[in-house]
Amino acid sequence: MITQAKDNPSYNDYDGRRVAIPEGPSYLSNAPGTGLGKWFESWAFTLDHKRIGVMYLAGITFFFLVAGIMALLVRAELWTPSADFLSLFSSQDTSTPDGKENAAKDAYNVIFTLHGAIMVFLFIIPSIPAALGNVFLPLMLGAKDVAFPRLNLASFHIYILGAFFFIAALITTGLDTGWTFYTPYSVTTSGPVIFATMGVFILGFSSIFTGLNFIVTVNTMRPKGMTWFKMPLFLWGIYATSIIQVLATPVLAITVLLLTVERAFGLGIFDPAKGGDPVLYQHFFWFYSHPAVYIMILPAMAVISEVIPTFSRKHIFGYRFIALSSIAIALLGFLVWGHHMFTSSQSTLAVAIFSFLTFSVSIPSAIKVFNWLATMYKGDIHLNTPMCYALSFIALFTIGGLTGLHLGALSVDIHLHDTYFVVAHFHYVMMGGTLIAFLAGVHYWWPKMFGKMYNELWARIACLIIFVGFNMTFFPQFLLGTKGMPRRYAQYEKMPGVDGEPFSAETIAEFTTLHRWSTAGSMILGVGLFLAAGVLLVSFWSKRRAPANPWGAATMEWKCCSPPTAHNFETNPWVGSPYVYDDLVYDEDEEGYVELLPDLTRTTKPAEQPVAT
Amino acid sequence: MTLDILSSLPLAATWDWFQPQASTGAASVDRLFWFITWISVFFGVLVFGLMGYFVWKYRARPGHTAKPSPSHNNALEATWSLIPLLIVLVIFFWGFQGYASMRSAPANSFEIDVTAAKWNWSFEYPGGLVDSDLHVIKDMPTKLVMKSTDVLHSLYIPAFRVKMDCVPKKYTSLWFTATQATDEGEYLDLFCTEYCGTGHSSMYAKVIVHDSQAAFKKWLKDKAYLPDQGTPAEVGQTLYSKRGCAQCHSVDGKDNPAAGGPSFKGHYGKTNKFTDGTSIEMDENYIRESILYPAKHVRAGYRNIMPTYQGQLGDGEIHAIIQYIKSLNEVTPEDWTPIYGDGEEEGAEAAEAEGESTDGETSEPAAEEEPAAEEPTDAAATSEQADAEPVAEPGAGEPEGGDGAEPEAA
Repeated sequence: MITQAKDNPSYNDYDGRRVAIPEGPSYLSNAPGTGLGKWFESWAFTLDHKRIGVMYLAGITFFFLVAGIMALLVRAELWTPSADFLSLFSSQDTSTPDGKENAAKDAYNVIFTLHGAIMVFLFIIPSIPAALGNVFLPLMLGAKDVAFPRLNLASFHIYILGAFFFIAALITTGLDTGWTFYTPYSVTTSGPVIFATMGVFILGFSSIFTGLNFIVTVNTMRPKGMTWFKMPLFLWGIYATSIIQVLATPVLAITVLLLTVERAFGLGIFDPAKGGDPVLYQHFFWFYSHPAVYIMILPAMAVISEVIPTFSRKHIFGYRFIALSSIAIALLGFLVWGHHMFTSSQSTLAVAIFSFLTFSVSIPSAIKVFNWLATMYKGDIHLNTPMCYALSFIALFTIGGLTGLHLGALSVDIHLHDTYFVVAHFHYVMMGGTLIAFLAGVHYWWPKMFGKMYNELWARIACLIIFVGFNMTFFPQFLLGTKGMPRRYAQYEKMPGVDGEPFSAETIAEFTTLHRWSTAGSMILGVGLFLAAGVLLVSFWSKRRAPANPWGAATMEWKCCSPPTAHNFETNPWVGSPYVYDDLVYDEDEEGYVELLPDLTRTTKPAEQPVAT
Repeated sequence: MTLDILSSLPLAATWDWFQPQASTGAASVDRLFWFITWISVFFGVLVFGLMGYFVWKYRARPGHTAKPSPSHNNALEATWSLIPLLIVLVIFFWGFQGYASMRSAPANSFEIDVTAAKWNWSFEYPGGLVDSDLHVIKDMPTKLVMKSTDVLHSLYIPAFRVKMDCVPKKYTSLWFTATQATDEGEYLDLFCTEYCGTGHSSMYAKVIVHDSQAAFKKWLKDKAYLPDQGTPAEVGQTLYSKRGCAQCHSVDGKDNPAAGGPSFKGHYGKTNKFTDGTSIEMDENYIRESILYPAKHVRAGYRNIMPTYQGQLGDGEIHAIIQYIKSLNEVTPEDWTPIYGDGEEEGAEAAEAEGESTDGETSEPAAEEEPAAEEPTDAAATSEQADAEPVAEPGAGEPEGGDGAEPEAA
């Protein structure tokens, strides 16, 4: 066995039971003297799943920044009831009041579209599976890499290519269809819809490749002793997500391809003038995009299922229920797409069935929340940054989930559909859920990925600011929705024209107050996110090196050095139960936990003597 | 309903969550909303409470360690699966019940045809009159039969808690019964809630609830007779801002192809080039053609996006818009003579101001314009009778909301 140099005389050997973790060169570093060109090549064409994961992380963070700035612009426009602010960003003629108003409205439509499209396709969908999953799925299996490393690299290259198409749509400024590309609007608008849909088409392949790769990896590369029900729950979540990615994404690909052909050649599938049906597009679109919601939230739940037991020092409660509920959500999630279309002239029967199925999918989510709470019972709760984010997640996801009941109930949904209530609901789930879980995951695994500890105090302050800012931004939007404020409105005061007739006075006053709360909150949220990013980046220059296992987690990714070597494990790790913390003890010198082999020497007499036969 | 108490508890009382309930269906929607909300509050408090309690009680501190407890318990897990399941089933059935009644309009509903187009609403009333505001009658079941001429739109009246998409080449419908008349000068909001482009946020209409059928008919009659509303240029200006022209056409003489259409100012009497290479001098005929057949001649540099206004603007209204354009271009606009003839105009107005007794005079000039104008005359004759039974009447005589209909003919 390779042993490390023990210069420190106080090194605690724990009677020889300590599991030594051999150090090795970081996967992040190249051989000394590598030139810039070689360095670039070593990253751009790497087959190392961890490097690919880190590149994904950089990519999605960049796109999150871009789309986040778009969100702040949208919020800034809504500070006043009139359409004015965004005309600053328009190339249209703004010298007259009419021109200015139209320019601001057009700019608003472009910006909210890009915000939604970039967040969904370039940030949320790849965030946890492609970035964190890529790094940690093989590590949690004790494996050297994913099953198909070249396919993995291809999926990243395809992601960059798809992103390029999206950015092309951004630069040519004018994609204004909303991220849903609803027909017939998307067929008639002047914006560069084809660029964007081709981007979505290409990104879909990236998603499919990643999903396929993960399914094969989990199926074939589990180490000896890790049966299905001994897998960490993160793997269950990613596995369920991958199933959706592989099954649902092709439908999206077909849909956007049809849309592209419709636009380019006037095919007529969605065009009512040619006998097509515009509502058919919505069915196609949501057949993918509703399961896509679970592509976003299942990995988030999976991260939380790792963080909560680790920081509670308790075995996860109801392991099987959590694992199977992921699969249940993945399958039921395919059957509820119609709940996006309760007002789009579906038959009453179809509406009733979709409403019923929607309620059924809420149960597995509820089970998870209760199980996380039960895990904390009688635990030893350490409020480190990842745990703070996990607690935020439970709070925000609970609100997001419960308000889903309002939207699933048919008669209430008719009132709330396409209002800010929906906007608030899905931001609570997507942002309060997925983004917060992503931050939990990033803070949880940061020491492992980069071998550095960040400043706990400031990271926790950032978490608090994000929590406060988030609620201040999105809670008022529930009220806006019940009051009847529709989505995607650039202004909320009057009909067109300089002296267009106003909305009713009370409506304008109430909408203005609530929008101002929301806009102010979004600025606080922005500050919090920048602070969180800053704290993490500063850690690169920190002198505090991360121990192999700073939090005392029992899953296998903590059984290699931080950061891991190119081949992850220098020696085969000990496969234990992922949620038993008895053999992990805190070591002052390490500033982290060390794993001890079970003490097999019998010290006490057994309670019962074996019965003589 | 005992459940109404839910909506008067502090959470609801300190802030008006909804617009006032102004339809018969609104109360039941709100009741279910509050039922779900209080269930949510219960579970929210439970989850946050337990979370806070556990974080405090089991916080890591010197001398404290995790205590063993079972890591699964099938009975417990089954319980917290089944109880939420039962609750959501109740919500589902309740919601479906409410929805089913929303979808089935009473047979005697008063029908109004709605046309949604980028970016304005047109409401066609019995008799063929088209207006940009929705006028309905208190306590009368009203059914909106909707269509779209271009992209998807969605009609939403928050105070009535109703919403339905308008789909091209397809009819959709919704119904409601308004319960409160709007005061003079007051109105309810009607929004478009399906994203439809530049003017989406200003695709707005007022909802005016008339106290009685008589009041509605008086409005219908006044509306049909344009001279009461001002000079043709003034009426044209109102139409410009309320019927969707303002979404694309400016009146300041600045042409901006991105906005959609050329300015109303600066082209009248001048020769203009079209996308097909031809050119025509802009006169009354050209304006009329552009309104009724917009795709025939599209101005060079612009896209062919204007919807047709056939059947939505009458001759009088087109006349008014032409005069408004003239007035913008420093051409003296005409009066109402070409539409209503002269001489009789004074008499008609006088008769109208006086009351409903003299119908002969108003009917004559109005009849030339459009069927709608026939209606006020009949309406006037039977209005007293109509007053007596406001609810039952119009629906019964109104099979399909077609043109030339007489709500009181039954």
